[in-house]
Amino acid sequence: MIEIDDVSFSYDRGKTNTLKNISLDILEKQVTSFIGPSGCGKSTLLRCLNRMNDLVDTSCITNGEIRIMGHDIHGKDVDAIELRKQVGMVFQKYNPFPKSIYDNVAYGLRIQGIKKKDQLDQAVEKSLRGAALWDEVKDRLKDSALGLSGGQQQRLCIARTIAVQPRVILMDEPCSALDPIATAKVEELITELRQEFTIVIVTHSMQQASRVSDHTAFFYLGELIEYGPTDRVFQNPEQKRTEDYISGRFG
Amino acid sequence: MSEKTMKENPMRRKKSRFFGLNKQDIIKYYFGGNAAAAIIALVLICWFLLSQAFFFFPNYRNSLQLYRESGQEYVDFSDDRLQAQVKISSLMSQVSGYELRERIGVDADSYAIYVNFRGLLAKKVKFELKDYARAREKEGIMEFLGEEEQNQIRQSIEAAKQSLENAAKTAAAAIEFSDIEDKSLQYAPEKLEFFRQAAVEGVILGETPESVKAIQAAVDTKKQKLLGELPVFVKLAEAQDVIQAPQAAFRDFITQQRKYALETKARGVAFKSAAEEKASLDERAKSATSEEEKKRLAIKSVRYLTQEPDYAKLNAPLYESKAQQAALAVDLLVATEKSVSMLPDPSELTSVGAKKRLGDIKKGFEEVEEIFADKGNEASTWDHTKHYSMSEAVVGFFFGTKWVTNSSWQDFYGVVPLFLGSFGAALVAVILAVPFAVGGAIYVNRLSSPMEQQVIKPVIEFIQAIPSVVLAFFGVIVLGSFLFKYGQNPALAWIPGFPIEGKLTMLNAGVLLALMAVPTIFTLAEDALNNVPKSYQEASLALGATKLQTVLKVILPSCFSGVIAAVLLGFGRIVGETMVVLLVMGGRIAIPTSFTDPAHSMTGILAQEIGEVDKGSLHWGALFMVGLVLFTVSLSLNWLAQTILRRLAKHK
Ligand SMILES: Nc1ncnc2c1ncn2[C@@H]1O[C@H](COP(=O)(O)OP(=O)(O)OP(=O)(O)O)[C@@H](O)[C@H]1O
Ligand SMILES: [Mg+2]
Repeated sequence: MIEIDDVSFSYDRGKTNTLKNISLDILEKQVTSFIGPSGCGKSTLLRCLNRMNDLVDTSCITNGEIRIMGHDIHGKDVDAIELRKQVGMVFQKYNPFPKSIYDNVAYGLRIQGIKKKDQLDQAVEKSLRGAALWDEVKDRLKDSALGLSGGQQQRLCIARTIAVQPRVILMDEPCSALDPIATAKVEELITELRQEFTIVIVTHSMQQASRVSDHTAFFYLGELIEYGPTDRVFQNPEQKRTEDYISGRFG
Repeated sequence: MSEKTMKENPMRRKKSRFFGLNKQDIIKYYFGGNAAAAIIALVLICWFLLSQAFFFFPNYRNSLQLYRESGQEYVDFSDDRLQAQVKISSLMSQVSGYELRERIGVDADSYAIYVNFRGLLAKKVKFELKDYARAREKEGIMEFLGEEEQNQIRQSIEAAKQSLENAAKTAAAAIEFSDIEDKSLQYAPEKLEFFRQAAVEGVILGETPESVKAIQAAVDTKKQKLLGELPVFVKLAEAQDVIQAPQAAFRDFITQQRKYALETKARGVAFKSAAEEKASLDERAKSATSEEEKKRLAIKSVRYLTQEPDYAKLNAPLYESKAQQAALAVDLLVATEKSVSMLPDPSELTSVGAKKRLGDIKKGFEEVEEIFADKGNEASTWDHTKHYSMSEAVVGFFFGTKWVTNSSWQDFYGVVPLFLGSFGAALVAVILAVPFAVGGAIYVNRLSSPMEQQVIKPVIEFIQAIPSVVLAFFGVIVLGSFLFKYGQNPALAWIPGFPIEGKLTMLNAGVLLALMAVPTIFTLAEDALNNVPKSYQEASLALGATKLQTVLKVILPSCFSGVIAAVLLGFGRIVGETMVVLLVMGGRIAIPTSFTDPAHSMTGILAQEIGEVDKGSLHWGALFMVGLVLFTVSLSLNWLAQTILRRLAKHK
C-alpha cells in the first residue's frame, strides 16, 4: 500500500538529515505502529506520508521516494491537496474547529463542493457512527464541538477524518492527551477502523502498540532499526537496541 | 527561647530607606502614580468638557426664544420657502448651461483655455516680456530722433521681439493640457498645438489673436442660434421665466419684514444686556462695604432701562402681513408647478449633467411642496409668545441641520451636518481600508513567505509614521485632481455621486483616512489571526483543503470578532482625525447627499473655530458640545472594541 523506499529527509535544505535511508512497506488494511524515543523522527516520517512537511519551507526529501498505491507522492502529476484527501491525519492534541459538531464532520465534504443537505446528513451520521460517537452526540449536532470531553473531541477528529473517505489514516499519538478510559475507547475504535482503512499510528505506549497494531517499526535517531510483525518485534526482537527500548532500559 | 539569642539578627531588614521608603516601595509608587495620573487626567478632561458645555443648552434656548419673540422665526418661515424655490430655478439654469455647453461642443471652453495657456506662458517668459516692453518704450520718442538712431531702436525692438518669440516657443512646447485647469480634459490632444501657437501669438501681440477671436465669435453665434431656435432651449427659457416671475415680489416682502425683525431683535438684545448689567450692579451694591459705594452703585443701576420691549406691538406688522404672506407663497408655488410641467423631456437632452439636474428638479419639486405645506402652516399659526422649551433646544442641537455662526441674523448650532461629514468620511475610509488591511493581514500571516513578511509588515506599519498634515497636503495637491480627473469617466456614472464635481470631497478625505486606518486595522487583525491556533490550519489542510479555503472557512471565522474589533478601533482612530478632514474635505457646512460631496467635520470645525471665539459665549459652548459628542463617539467605539476583545479572551 505505502512503499517507503530509501527515504532521507531534511528540515534544513539537506544540511542535516532528520531521517536516514528509511525503507519500509506498509500493508493495506493493517495497523502499523511507529515507536521509538522522543525526537527520533516518527512524526516526521508520518508527516512525510501526506506531505504535511510541505508547510516547512526549508524541508525536503533528500533521497529515495514514497509511493502510495504505486504512485510517487512527489511526482509531477500528484497534487498535495488530492493526496491529503486520500491520506487523512489525526493529531496528538485533539483539534476540532470552533464550529458545531455537524459542521466539523461536514467540513471536509463541504470544501470538496458537496452542498446537498441529505448527502451531508448521511455522511455525517455514517462517520460519527464509524467513530463510535453517534449515540453520544446525535441530539446535539448543532452544539459547539468545543463543549465535548477530550476523548469525544478526539473521536470527533477521527470522524472528521473518515468523513472524506481516505484510504489511509495517520495518527500521531492520538491518545497522549486522553485518560485511560477514553484511550481504551479510541483503541477499540482503531481496531474497528482497521477493516476499512490502512492505519499508521505513532505511539509512546508499548502496550498500545502491542494491543492495536499488526506491524511495528522501531526508530532510533532517524534510522529504522527494526520492522516486523508486532508479536515478533515485542517477543524476540532481533536488535539489541530494540530490546533495550522495549524493556524500558532507555528512552 | 531560653537558649542564647543570636547577636546578629539574620532576618534584619537590609535595605536602606529614603523618606521611610525602600527601593521596592519607590518603584511601586512610581508606577502606581503614573497610572493614577492617567486616570485623573481622563477625569479632568471629562469634567472640563462637561463644565464648559453645561451652560450651552440654557443659553441656546434663550437665544432661540429671542429669535421667536423678535419675529425672525416668522420671517424665516417665508425665507425658507423662497430658498427652496430658488434652488429649483437655479437648477433650471444649470440644465440649460450644461446642455448648451454640450451642444456647442469642445470649442465652448476654447477661450478659457486660451487664457489659461497664455497666463502660464506669460509667467514663464516674464523676463523676455519685460525686455520687449522696455525696448518698445522708445518707440514713442522715435520721431524726434535722427535716421540712424531710429534704425538702432528698430533693431533693438526687433531683437527683443525675436528673443521673446524664441523663448515663448520653447516654453510653450513644454506646456501640456494637464497643466491647465479641469476644462481641458475633454480636449483631443491634436488641439494642443493650436493653443500653444495661439498663446505664443497672444503673448507677443499683447492681445487675443485673431484665430481665437474667430473661434469665440463662432461659439457666440452658435450659442445665440441654439438659444433662439432649438425647442429645448426655448422651452427651458420659458420655464425659467415662469418660475422667476413671482420671486421678486416675495423677496421684497421678506426684505421689508426682515427690517422689522432686526429692529425688534436689537431692542431685545439691548434690554437683555442692560438687565444683566443692572443685576450685577445690584449684586455688587448688596455686598458693598461703605454706604457711599452702595449709593453710587444704586444710582448707576437706576440709569439702566429695564423696561422690557413690547414685543406684541413691535410684531404687529408681521401679524398683519399673514394673509399677504400666504397669498404670495401660493403664487410662488403655483408658478413653480407650472414651470416644472413646462420643462423638456429628458430624452430631448444630450448632456449627462443636464439630465441629472433635470432629475434633481423632479425630486426637488416634491420636497418644495412639502416645505411649502409645513412652513406655510407654521407661519399661519406663528405666535411670538410661545415658550421655547429646553427639549427643543436639545433636539435643535443634536438633530439640527444648520450650523450657522457669526451671523448678523441668527446663529444656529445643529451638529448633524458636521456629524455626517465626520462619519461619512470615516465610513468611506473603513470601507476602503478593510479589504486592504484584512486582506493584507491574511496574506502576511498565512500565505506569504518569511521574506515577504519581513518587507510588507514594516512598510504597512510605516504608513503610521506619515504626519497627517503631509497626507492632507498630498490630498489637496495630487489626489484631489486625480480623483476628479478619473471621476469624470462616463463608465463610472452609474455609481451614485459620480461624476465627481470637485476636488475637495468626502471621497478624497476618505481615501487618505483609509490610508491612516490601514496600519491600525492591519496590525490588530494580524494579531487576531496570530491568535488562531496553528492546529486549526493543520487540521484543515490535512483534510485536503487549500490554503485559501483554510483561511476563509476556518481561520477567519474563528477570529472574526477580533477582526471586527480591529475594524472598530481603526474607525475610532480616524473619526478623531483632524488635519485631513479639515484641509481635504472642502469645508462646506451642509448635509452631504452623496460621498462625493464636500463636507465639514466635527474635528475640523473645532480646530477651525475654537481659536477665534469669545470665551464663555454661546458659540464657545456649542464647540464644547461638539467636542463632547466627538469624545463620546470615540469612547463608545473603543469601549465596544474592548468588550469584543475581552469576550474573545474569555472564550479561550
Ligand atoms: N518543523 C521542524 N523544523 C525543524 N526541525 C524539526 C521540525 N520538527 C521536528 N524537527 C526536528 O526533527 C527531529 C525529529 O522530530 P520528530 O517530531 O519527528 O520526533 P518524534 O519522534 O515525533 O518525537 P516525539 O516522540 O517527541 O514526538 C527532532 O530533532 C526535531 O527537533
Ligand atoms: Mg512526534
